[in-house]
Amino acid sequence: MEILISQLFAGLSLGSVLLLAAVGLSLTFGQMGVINMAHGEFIMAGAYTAFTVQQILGSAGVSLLVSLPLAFLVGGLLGLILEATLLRRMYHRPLDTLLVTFGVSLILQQLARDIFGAPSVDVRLPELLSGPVMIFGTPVPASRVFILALTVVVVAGLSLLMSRTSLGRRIRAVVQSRELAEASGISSRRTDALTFFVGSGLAGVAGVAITLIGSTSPTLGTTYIVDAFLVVVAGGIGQIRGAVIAAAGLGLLQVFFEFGTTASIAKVIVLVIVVAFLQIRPQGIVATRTRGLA
Amino acid sequence: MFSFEGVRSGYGRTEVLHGIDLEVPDDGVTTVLGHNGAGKTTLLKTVMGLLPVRSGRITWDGEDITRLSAHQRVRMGLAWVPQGQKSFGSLTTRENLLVVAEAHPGGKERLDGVLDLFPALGELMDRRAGLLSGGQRQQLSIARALLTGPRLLVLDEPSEGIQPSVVQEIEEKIVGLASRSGTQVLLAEQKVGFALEAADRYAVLATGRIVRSGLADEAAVDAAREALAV
Ligand SMILES: Nc1ncnc2c1ncn2[C@@H]1O[C@H](COP(=O)(O)OP(=O)(O)OP(=O)(O)O)[C@@H](O)[C@H]1O
Ligand SMILES: [Mg+2]
Repeated sequence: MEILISQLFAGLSLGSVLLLAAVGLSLTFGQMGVINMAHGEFIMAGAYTAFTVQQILGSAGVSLLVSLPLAFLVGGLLGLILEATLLRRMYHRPLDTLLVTFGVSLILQQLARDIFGAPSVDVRLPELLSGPVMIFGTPVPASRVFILALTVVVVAGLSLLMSRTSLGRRIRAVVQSRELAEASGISSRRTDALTFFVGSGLAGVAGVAITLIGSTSPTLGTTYIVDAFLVVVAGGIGQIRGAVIAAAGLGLLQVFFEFGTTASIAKVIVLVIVVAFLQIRPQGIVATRTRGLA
Repeated sequence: MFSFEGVRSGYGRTEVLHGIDLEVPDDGVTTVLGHNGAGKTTLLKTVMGLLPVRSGRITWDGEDITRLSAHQRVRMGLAWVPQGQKSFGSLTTRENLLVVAEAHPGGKERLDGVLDLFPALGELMDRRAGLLSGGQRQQLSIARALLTGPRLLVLDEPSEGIQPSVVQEIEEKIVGLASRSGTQVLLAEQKVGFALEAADRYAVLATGRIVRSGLADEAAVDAAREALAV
């Protein structure tokens, strides 16, 4: 029983990390269709933001609270710059976008190496998050519970933003028909830029969360980028709900297969399962049902 | 006065409009007539700034707007009702209206007035636009355009695929609007009858060129029919 609960929790916890890394992509890739390989490096930038803030402020608790919004800004600004300087010119050329953002991701990794050094650094946990908490009599790390809660807040916030706010409406309108949006007086460029800002900002937030469960190094982003894309594709492109289910599923599968094998073997198995699943259901878990432009 | 001077435009490498001269005066309804593929939609999209101009000039009240983007033109007072009752299909009727109203100063204040004009929409507010009927979507499309408080309303075959009685109603609304609020209307049509009844002036478009134009008086019906027959 105890093993089951702790495994279940480990799976969901991994899933929540994956989801956090992927929610930003569900906007920039899912909604806008931009394949941004530097998304992982925006996560890394968020992690180094947490590290830097802690160097300056000292207190781990206060730093965490300051880091979350600040990393959102850092990630968002990086995204905004990337969008304005490069991506804007290649919205209809996915292959160019992929290659260019891959280049950008390498540059950002080198930049991180130059600023923070190649060896990994650690961000100290706040007192409150460093011990275990009991769930159904099973001890689980408090930091992971925090990440789970943060993910819930972030995903709920994003859904509300998309469904209830004027920015969300604007983003959906532009995604649906750039032409009609433009001809309705909506600046599609400004909307693209804002969408990219929010999506990249969320990568920054994910970076802060990841410092709570591991070390930070310049290659941190490469660990997460493939899984993040996997979550968005498996979930059904443009569907937050699908991404939630996919992330949970991926996390649980990974932990399940890790039990008795190794992490890398489990990863291969999960990848095979996802590929097989996409053969059967290419549109992902949740498919878009409405006629787009009617 | 909205005017085209020797405007050429098209899609990619294909040129569709081969040097259009057209003047839309500050009041009344101007109709562009033409068969399928004549270039009506292309002309209206070029008016809106949705297609690049290769040569020539577009001016509005003397100001050169040839290089302005579509949303900038809409901010200046242009509004577009596209062909085929296009809407933001996955957004609800309410969201379709709100997203436009929010992009324009005073848009939200105009919402009630516009819904008075199309009472049928009031009962469809929470339905996705993609699930509305063609006629309902046409009303939504005109409602969206009116929310921007336009000075020049551009309509692309608003009567297409709509039952005759509703066409009549839409026509009356358009003409009423034009005279009441001083909004000028630029209308593309295939049906000579509907088009000229509503119009003050007309122009006939054939394979990307204007082949005839003038006042929409009694003689115009025959003149337009003749020009279309060629
Ligand atoms: N996206 C496009 N790419 C290339 N050519 C196009 C495109 N859209 C239209 N055309 C061509 O431009 C010409 C004019 O088309 P347009 O849609 O302006 O005609 P129309 O007068 O609006 O016709 P209809 O009455 O059928 O709506 C046609 O020959 C058409 O094939
Ligand atoms: Mg047309």
